[in-house]
Amino acid sequence: MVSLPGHRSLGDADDRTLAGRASDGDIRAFEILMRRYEPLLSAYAARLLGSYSETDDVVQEAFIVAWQQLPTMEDFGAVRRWLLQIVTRKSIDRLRARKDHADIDDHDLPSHTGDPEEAASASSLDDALSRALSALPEDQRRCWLLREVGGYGYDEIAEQLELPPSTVRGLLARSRKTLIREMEAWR
Amino acid sequence: MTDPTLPPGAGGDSALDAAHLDGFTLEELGEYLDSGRQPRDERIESSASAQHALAALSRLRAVAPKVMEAEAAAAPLRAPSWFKAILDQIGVQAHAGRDIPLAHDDARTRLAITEGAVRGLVRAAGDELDGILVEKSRLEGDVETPGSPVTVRVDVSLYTGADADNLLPALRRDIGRTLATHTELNVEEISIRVRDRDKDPEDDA
Repeated sequence: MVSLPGHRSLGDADDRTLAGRASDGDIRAFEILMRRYEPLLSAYAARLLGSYSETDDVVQEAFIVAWQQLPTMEDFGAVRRWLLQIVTRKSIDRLRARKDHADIDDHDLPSHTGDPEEAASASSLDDALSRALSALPEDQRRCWLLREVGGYGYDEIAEQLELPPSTVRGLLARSRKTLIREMEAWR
Repeated sequence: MTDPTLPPGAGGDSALDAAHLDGFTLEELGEYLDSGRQPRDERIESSASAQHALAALSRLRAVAPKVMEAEAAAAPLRAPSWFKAILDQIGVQAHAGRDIPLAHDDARTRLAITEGAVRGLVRAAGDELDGILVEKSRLEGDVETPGSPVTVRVDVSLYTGADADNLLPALRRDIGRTLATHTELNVEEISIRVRDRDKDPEDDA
């Protein structure tokens, strides 16, 4: 028997088990899930928001919503995507609120020029793409993130970002074109 | 056609330049990939240029999650107090469920234990045993009326090599004991369902 009963097995447990336990009311299981996904969710939120300053609040709110909604969750194995989508909705709420207060100009993520030479000097492909992502126009970046990280379909992206589906299609294509160019430049 | 969103000099020789797409648009190819290349489009599948572009799009798709993971890994770790603040807030609104009354000598005093706390007791009983994990439990019956018969339904997983023949009766016994100690529930049945056998701890996380 382990010294801390259950602790070892729970810390190593898969997402489905942890989400199931959390939905049963196990706060410790939820804490393990939070620690597992907080870095990814924060990085994703910062990218969607273009800012670190609101990321804390968004991720915090997302976790609280997640806790409340866990008992009604259907597929515990899909917790990663489920958390990303809660963060997406919370981030978009912020973006809409920001649009209503257009005087707040809050963009503190480092920006890059997207210069291929800069991409070539990146230390890794991940790094090169990170820089290229920073250089994308905001609407292209958001479409790409919702599609490739959030796992949204075209129509869902259109709905979330309040854009016509044809615009989403175009934005996705342009973002991919730029990012692939950067990938090729890095090689 | 030049793309006005690209910085000057980024023209290069890309698999995705319109000149190399064999008449297909990037939108079209991206959408084809997004739909899992279904239904199969013979025109696209038989075009070498389109295949080349699809390969580039697939590579991008494959690295996308890694980019986000790398950014996440590079970010500074959050202070334990950040998590604690959330947990404190969550603790207040824990999934308490129904109140289960407890008798008290003083008739004017009402004591109760929440359904959520009882589920915690059931999980804890499982946590004391190696090789088995209680995932969920629920109480069926009128738990708010003292003496009403109650069925405890428990979902568990068993780890690889776990001895189900001994573990399941042991869990049933331990749940019965802990509920008898901490509650006044009239437990009529403890029903255990194994959701996952041969769960491999190495596969987790």
